Formats: sequence, structure tokens, C-alpha cells
Amino acid sequence: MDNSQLLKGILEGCVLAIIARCETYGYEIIGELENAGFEDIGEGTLYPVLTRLDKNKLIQCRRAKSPLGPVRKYYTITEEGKRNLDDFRKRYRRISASASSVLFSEKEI
Amino acid sequence: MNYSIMEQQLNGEYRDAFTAVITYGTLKNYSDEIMTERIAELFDTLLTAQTNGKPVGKIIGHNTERFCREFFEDCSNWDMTVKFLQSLFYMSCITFVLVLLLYLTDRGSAEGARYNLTPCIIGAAIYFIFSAVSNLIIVPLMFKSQKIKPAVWHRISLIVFFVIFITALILGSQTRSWIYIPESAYLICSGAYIAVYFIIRSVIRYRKNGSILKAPEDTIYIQNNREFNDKKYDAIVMKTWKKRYDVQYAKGKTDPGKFIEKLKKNNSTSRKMNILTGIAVISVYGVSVFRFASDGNITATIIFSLICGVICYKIWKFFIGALSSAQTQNDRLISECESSGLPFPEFAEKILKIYFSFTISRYAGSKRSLRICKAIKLN
Repeated sequence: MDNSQLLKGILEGCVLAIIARCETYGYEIIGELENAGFEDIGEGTLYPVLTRLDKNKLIQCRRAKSPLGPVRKYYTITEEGKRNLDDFRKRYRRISASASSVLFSEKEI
Repeated sequence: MNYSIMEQQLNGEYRDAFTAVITYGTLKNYSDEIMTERIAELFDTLLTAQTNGKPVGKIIGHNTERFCREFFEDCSNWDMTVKFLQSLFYMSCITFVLVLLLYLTDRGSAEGARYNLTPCIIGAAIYFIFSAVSNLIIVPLMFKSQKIKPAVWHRISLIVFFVIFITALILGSQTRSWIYIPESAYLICSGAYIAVYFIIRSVIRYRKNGSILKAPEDTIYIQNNREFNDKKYDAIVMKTWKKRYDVQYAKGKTDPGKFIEKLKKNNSTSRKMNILTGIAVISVYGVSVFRFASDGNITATIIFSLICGVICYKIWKFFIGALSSAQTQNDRLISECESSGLPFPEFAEKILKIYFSFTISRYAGSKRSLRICKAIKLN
């Protein structure tokens, strides 16, 4: 099974959780995901996620000059985003527990 | 948005990746709005990665085609339709002005002016053929070919466009024109399209940005590019002046004071030439309007003079604008040199060092930074 299919559902929640910690930007999000063990997440995967979150008003962005000069988009979570993240966490726990019980049954372990 | 200035700030594999995405987006015909937003975001990420020495693979992965597809994944067909409507708007504006001029010139002709629709059909055919060739041939080949760089594919696509354009023109000129419509009908239809497009665009912009003008962030991108360009311009000018100074000083023909005076004189002569060019353009404009007015129709003369005025202004701005901005920058450099109290050679070194540290902070440790050091002869 392709990793990207598996990731699709959870990536939005993870990105939202990173943005919820503090104001951040694309490059930093990629780094955070990489540190967390998501190795194949590049800008190509991240940007559509950020666009979707922005369109759904779960995050908002402001533009400011980066230390290197170019304009950078800084993302912050909205109130709607915080509610959505809480909801996502609950749903993820439930689904993860169910999936684990199926995938790692005592017999297999 | 000027992508080439952004490209210049990236090097090696970062630049290749950036060019591949631009070429992909351009050939896929995504709207300016989408391209501006995404390319700016990608540029920031790649520039930061380049400065931090993070491999490009960590940003775009190892499959550029997949990256491009994912990067523009959420762009619907509607975005491409918007781009088509945008292109149609610009084409309509140009043809509207040209046909209006023809209409004004042909007024009073016995048969009544008629407009040949063939060029419009040829234009649409070029658009669709080029889109098909780009999508079905150039883009897949670009990703398949490992040896040819994306920048080369960009140029190939331009050549293909011109080949299609010239072929269409030749075929069009050899085909007997078959669709004629009255110029007034063409003017009404294209004028209506321009008006509707303009109103819808203004409403969308107003709802999105609170103004019917371009979004303010667009100007931020321009400012950033200008800052980079200004520093680069200063360095190029200083390098040229320093070279000239060294040659003349070695021959004993100049000293720092004399050299600055000569630069001032050259710049002032160049400004006088601008005025002469301006007078020439205004004279041509005046003569054309006068000849047109001699026919006696006041309304037509007013419209004609307005259109010609805008065209002359645009031509003047295109040729003289760049020259004048260079002269202003030269004046600034000369006055900075005088106010610094430094002799010219030392001031030139100082400017080159400023550019050097600005550039080195962006390309730290890269081959490009060494190339720049070598180019401006600094260690």
C-alpha cells in the first residue's frame, strides 16, 4: 500500500497540530514533520494541505519579509481550527485504537 | 511576478527544481493568481533550504513530476478557464484598440468598414494547439528526460510556440478570408466582453482584498525583487566604473575627483537625450493627431488622440523608463560617493563588498558564492 494514501487522512491533523503550537511557516512545518518521522513530506504534499486548511478557515496566514528577504507566509490556527483539531484528536484516538486492535491482535503479537 | 529574478537567487539543483515547477505551471496554463501564490511559497522554502544546506530532495522528493502534480493538485479546471478568460481579455483589449483605430480611419467609406475575423480564429487555434502540445508532449518529455534541464525545456516550449505561431500566420495568409463582420459589431462584442470582465474582476478583487486594485501583497513581492535588483545593479555599475577608472588612472588621464565629475557630466548628457526623445515622440504624436483632425470629425479626433496618447506614452515609458531609472540610480551612486567622503576606488570597493556580503548570506558555501567572489575580485 502506498504511504501517501495512508498519510492523506492524518496529515491535515498533524499539520494543524504543528500550527497550533505557534505561528510557523512552510519550511519549518516540513522540518517538524521530518523530526517526527514523516520522511517523505515535501512542499508538494504540504502546500495543498495548507491551502485546504486555509480555504476551510482552520488556519489564517499573514505575509511578512523573511530574514533572507523574500516574502514568507506565516500560518496561525483559528478558533475554528482549534475546535477542529480537538475533534480530530478524539476521532484519531478512536480510529487508531480500533485499527490497532485489528492489526495487532494478540495472536499476531 | 518576475520569476527570473527569483531564479537568479537560487543555484544548482534548487534552481532546476524551481524552474521545473515554473515551466510545469506555465505550460499547464494555471492562472497568474495561483502561480504567484505558489511560486512565492516554493521560492521561500527553496531559498531557506539552500541557505541551511538542506538537500532539495527533502523539499521536493525524488520525483519532480509527482511533486508538480501534488503541488498543483487542488487546482481545478476552473483555474485554467480563468487563465483562458484572462488571456482573452488581454487579446480583446489589444484588438479592440486596433479595430477602433481602423474604424475611425475608415469612417465615411462607402461600403462600410468590415472586420476580418480570421486573425481571431487563428489566435484561438494557436492557443488551443499550443496548450495541447504543451500538455501532451512537452510536459511528459520534460520529466522523462534526465539530461535536458528544465530551463532548456522552457526555451523549447517558447520555440514551439513561435513555430506554431508562424505556421498559423503563413497558413492564415494563404487561406482566403471567409468571415467578415461589421467593425461596429466587433467593437460592441469585444467592448462588452472587456466591460463584463473588468466589472467581475473588480467585484472579486473588492470582495477579496477590499480594493479593486491589485492585491497589496503583489507589491511586496515586487519590492523584494527590486531590493535584490538594486543591489545587483549597484555592483554591476561599480564594477564597470571601477574598470574604466583603473584603465584611465593607469594612463594618467584621471584621478578620483576628475572621474566623478566626468560621470556627472555623462549622466547629465544622457538626461538631455531623454528630453530630446520625449520631444520627438510628442512631435510625432502631434503631427498624427493634426493630420487626423484635418478631416474634421471632433469625436473621432478625441478618441484617436486618446488612443495614440496612451500608445505613445507606453512606448516612451518602455524605452525611456528603464534608461531614466538607470540614470537615477547612477545619480544616487555618485551622490553617495561624494557624501561618503571616500575617494572613488575605495567607495567602489565598499559597494562591491556590500553586495558580496548580501549575496554570500544567501548562497553561503555554494559554488555560486565563490563565483561571485571571483567575478568581483574579492576574497
